[in-house]
Amino acid sequence: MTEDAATPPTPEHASRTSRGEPSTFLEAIAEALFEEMIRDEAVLLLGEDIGEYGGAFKVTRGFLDRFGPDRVVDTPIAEAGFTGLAAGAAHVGLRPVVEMQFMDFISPAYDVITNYIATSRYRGAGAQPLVIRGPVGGGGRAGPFHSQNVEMAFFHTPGLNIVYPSTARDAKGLLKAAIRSDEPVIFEEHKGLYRAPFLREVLPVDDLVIPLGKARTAREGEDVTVVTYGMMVHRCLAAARSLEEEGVSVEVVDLRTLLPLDDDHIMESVRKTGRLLIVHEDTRTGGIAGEIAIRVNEQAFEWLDAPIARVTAPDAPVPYAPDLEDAFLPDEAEIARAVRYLAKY
Amino acid sequence: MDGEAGSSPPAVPLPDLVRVLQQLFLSRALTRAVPEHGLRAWPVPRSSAVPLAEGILDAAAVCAATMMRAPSREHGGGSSEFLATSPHLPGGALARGVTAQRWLAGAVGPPVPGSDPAPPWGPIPSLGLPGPFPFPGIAVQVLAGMTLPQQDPDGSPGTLHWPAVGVVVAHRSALTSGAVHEGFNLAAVRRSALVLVLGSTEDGPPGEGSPPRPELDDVAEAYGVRAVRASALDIPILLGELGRGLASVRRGEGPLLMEVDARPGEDGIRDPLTVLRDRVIRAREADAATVAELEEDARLELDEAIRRISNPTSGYIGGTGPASPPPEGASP
Repeated sequence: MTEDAATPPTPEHASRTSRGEPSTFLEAIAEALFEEMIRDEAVLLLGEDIGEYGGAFKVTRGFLDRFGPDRVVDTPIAEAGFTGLAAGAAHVGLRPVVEMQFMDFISPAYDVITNYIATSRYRGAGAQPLVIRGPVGGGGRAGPFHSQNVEMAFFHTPGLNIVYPSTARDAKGLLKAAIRSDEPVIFEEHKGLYRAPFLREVLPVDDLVIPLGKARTAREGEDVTVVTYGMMVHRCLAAARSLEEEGVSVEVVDLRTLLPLDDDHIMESVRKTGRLLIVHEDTRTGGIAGEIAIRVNEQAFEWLDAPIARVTAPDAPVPYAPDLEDAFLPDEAEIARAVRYLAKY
Repeated sequence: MDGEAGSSPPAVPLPDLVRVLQQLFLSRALTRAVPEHGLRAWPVPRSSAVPLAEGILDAAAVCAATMMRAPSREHGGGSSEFLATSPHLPGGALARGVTAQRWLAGAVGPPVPGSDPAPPWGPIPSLGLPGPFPFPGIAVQVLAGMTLPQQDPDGSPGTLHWPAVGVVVAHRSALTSGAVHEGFNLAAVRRSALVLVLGSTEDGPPGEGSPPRPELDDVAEAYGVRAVRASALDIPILLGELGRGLASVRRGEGPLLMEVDARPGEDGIRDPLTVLRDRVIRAREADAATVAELEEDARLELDEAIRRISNPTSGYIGGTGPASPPPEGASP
C-alpha cells in the first residue's frame, strides 16, 4: 500500500506483518480489518466506541484517523439498531463489519440477525455480506455478562456462518475470508487469546485468506480424536502433550468454522482413531458436542470403538468468583481424564 | 420546520392523479380479494372491510412510491429508491411495477410457473423492495443503513452524497417500538436519507400544512429532525409533502418524520380512494365513465390474477390441498 504525507499513519498494531514482526491474535484481527479496508472501500466498521476510543480491546485503535468517521462508525449503545443498519448497508453494496463490544451483547440483535439477515437470501431480498465480530469466552473474571460463548444461540439458524478461530494466523485469514464472503458471518474471538504471548507468530506477507468451512488438524494422533475450537484447542493440545508421555496418541481437530461444520474432516479423523472426545467451553446442554455426536453416529458409527464423550462447561452462567470460574471452565486435567477413559475403553 | 402553518412550501410537480387513482383501485381490489375469493391468506388479513389504517397507509405507500419516481419493471429498475411497508399493503408494490398476479402469488402461494419467475416482493435492486417486513423496527433499521451517506466519487475527501432514499410506511403505533427508535436514532445520527411515514387514525385539525401534533413534534425535536403532517384524504397535498420530504433527505438534510392521518371534510368521508375519485371527476381530470372504466380494469386485472394464481397444483389456494410446490413444467 502507498502512503503520502497527508495519509495518517498505519496503526502500528495493524501492520506488524509488513515489518516482519510477529503478531498477536488481536493484532492479526486488526491487520485483517485494516488490509480489507485498504483493499475494498466498501468495507466499513460499526460498533460502540470503535472510533475515538479504538474499541474496548483497542482492535481498531487509529482506524478512525486513517479511514474517517464514515467508515469507522461510532454507534450508540443499540445493538439491534446498528446491526439492522449494517444489514441495510450490506444491501446496497457495502461490506459492514459490526463489532459487538462483548458478544454477550449480541442478544438484542437476535431478531434482526435471525429473522432478517439470515433469511434475506432465502426471501429473495439479496445477499447479506456482513460480519458480526467480537470477544467471547471466560477466564477473565468478568462474570456472566462479559464471558459467554454465543455460538449455539445462532447455530440453529440456517443462513448464517459461524467462525471461531484459535490462532493468530487463522484469525487473520478467516476474518479476511469472512469479510469477502457474500454470506453473513458471526465471528467469535476468545478474549483470552487476544494477547496470549504463546500465540504471537510471524504471519505470511502474502494476502492470507483461509476458506470458511474447513477444519484443520492441529495435532496428528492415532488413538483418540479430540474435536474442539477456540481457546479449548490450546487446552486440548496441552492435554495431548501430557498424554503422549503416557503413551496415548491424541489427534486434535480444530473446527475453525462451526457453521457449516466440516463433516468430512471430522469423519476422516474419527475413522482413523475410532474414538471421539468433543471439547467446548460453551455450556453442555444444546452445545455443539450434541450435534457432532449425532453426525458421527450417522456417518461413522461403524468405526467407533468407544462411546462418544464430551468435556464442556456445566449448565450454569459463567460465575464471577475466580474459584468458581476456574471450576466452571474445562481444563487440561479434565480433558486428559476423558481421553484416558476413551483410550482404555 | 416543514409544514408549519403559514409557511409556503416550495411547489412540487405532481404526477398524474388519474394514474395514482388507478393504482389505488387495484390496491383496494387486491386487499379485498382475499376474503372475497376465500384465498388462504398470509400475510393478507382475512377481514372483509378495509380498515381505515390500511386505507391511509396504502395511500401513503402509493404516493411515496410515486414520488420516488420509482422504477418499474417496464423501465428497467434501479437501486437508489427503497420502500418498506407492512406486507399486507399492496399499494406500494403496485406503484413500483409489481403486477397484481405477482403480489397475490407472494401473498397466498408460490409464483405461478411459466408466468413470472421473480419473487413477488422483488429482489433488491430490481424493485427496491427489501421486505416484507412484518414489523416496522427492522424496516427502519435496514432502510437507515440502505440510505447512509457515502463518499461522493466526484467530490473531495469527506464530501458526501446520498445515492439512495428510502421510505418506511408504518402505523403510528410503531413509535411505541424500541426497535423503531433505535433505527430512527441511527438514521438521525448518520443523516440517512430516510422518510418515516406514520399513519394515524386519530382525527386531526382540518386544513393543510398543519404542524405536527405536539408529541410528534417532541419526538422529532428529540432526534433533531423535522416533522410534517399531511392528510391522506388530500392526495395532492400528501404527494407534495412526500416530494418535498424526499428532496430534502436526498440533499442530506437528515431523515424526516411524517404523520399521515385522515382528516375528514364536511362530507365525513375518510377513505382516500373515494375522496380522490370524486376530486378527479370534479376537476374534470377524467370523466365519470373513464373512472368507472379504471375501476373495472382493476377488477378485470384482479380476476385474471386470481385465475392464474388459482392453479390447483399450487396447493396454496382456497384450502384445495397440502402446501406443495407445483410440478416442474406445469402451466399456469
